[in-house]
Amino acid sequence: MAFLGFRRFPTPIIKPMWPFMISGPIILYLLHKIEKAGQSVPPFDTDPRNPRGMYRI
Amino acid sequence: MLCILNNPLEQFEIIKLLGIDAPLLPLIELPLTNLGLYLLIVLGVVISGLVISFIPARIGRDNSWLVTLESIYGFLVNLVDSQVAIAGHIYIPAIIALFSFILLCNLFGLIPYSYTVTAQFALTLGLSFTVLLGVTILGLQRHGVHFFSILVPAGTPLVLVPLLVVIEAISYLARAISLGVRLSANMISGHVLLKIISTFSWQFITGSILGVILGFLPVLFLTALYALELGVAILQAYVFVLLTASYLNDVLSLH
Repeated sequence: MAFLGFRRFPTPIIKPMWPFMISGPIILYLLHKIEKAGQSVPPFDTDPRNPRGMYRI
Repeated sequence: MLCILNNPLEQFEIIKLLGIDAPLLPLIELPLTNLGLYLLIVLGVVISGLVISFIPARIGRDNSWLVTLESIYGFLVNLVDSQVAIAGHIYIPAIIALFSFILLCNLFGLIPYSYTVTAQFALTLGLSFTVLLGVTILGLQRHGVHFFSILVPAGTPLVLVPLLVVIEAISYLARAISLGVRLSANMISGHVLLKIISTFSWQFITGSILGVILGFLPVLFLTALYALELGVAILQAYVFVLLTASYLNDVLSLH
């Protein structure tokens, strides 16, 4: 893969990394769900630091 | 004093620096937080460091920074060799990227008044769960159903197999939690300790005439503690990639 005009290296990227490319978005989605769930719990849903709480006020 | 925070955990708060509110979609906004800013800085330093270090080599001049990068590369190749052997060489770029990212995040966190990205559990647990889910998918792809033999240690009596499968399954899942929590907990504890000791030192030095005379003692202690934290920052990045390589070895060779 050439980078900014440097020498091309035959480094495989997709072949070793595909399991992590699948797991990354799955974990990101789960973290997002946890974050959303945490934002709607009573002590934090009206917290001014919480953007969703800010809109609810 | 303005420079002294009241709560030692205040330094880990995520603050919105820039934000784009989308009025049509009131719950959607695109903020740049201090966490995002430091992630961008780390990305910029990794890429520009690599590019700058290769420029003198291209024009045929010596470059000590490139030698440092090569030493880190050799060190990580040795690590992968010792853990995964030749089958793991294909994962060396990923291991190097992971090590550089965690190391630079840890080191940037040690700059006074900066922000420690790796002290956020969401980030470190996200990384560790991604690694564990990734190696699990890899193991299932390589070995199919035989991958589950990882839950039964070799030489287990048949009677104990049901019990051991449960224990091994819990320990397998706990790896992800321990991997992420270890990094965050070390960063948080170190920074909180530095914060508390520095606050006490400052109050001791400015509090009385005795503090002015003996003020060098807490400063010496603080310097030693800072050196220790520097070691912890490097060690935790090493431990993270060492365990990642170890988990890779577990799924690639299955005992």
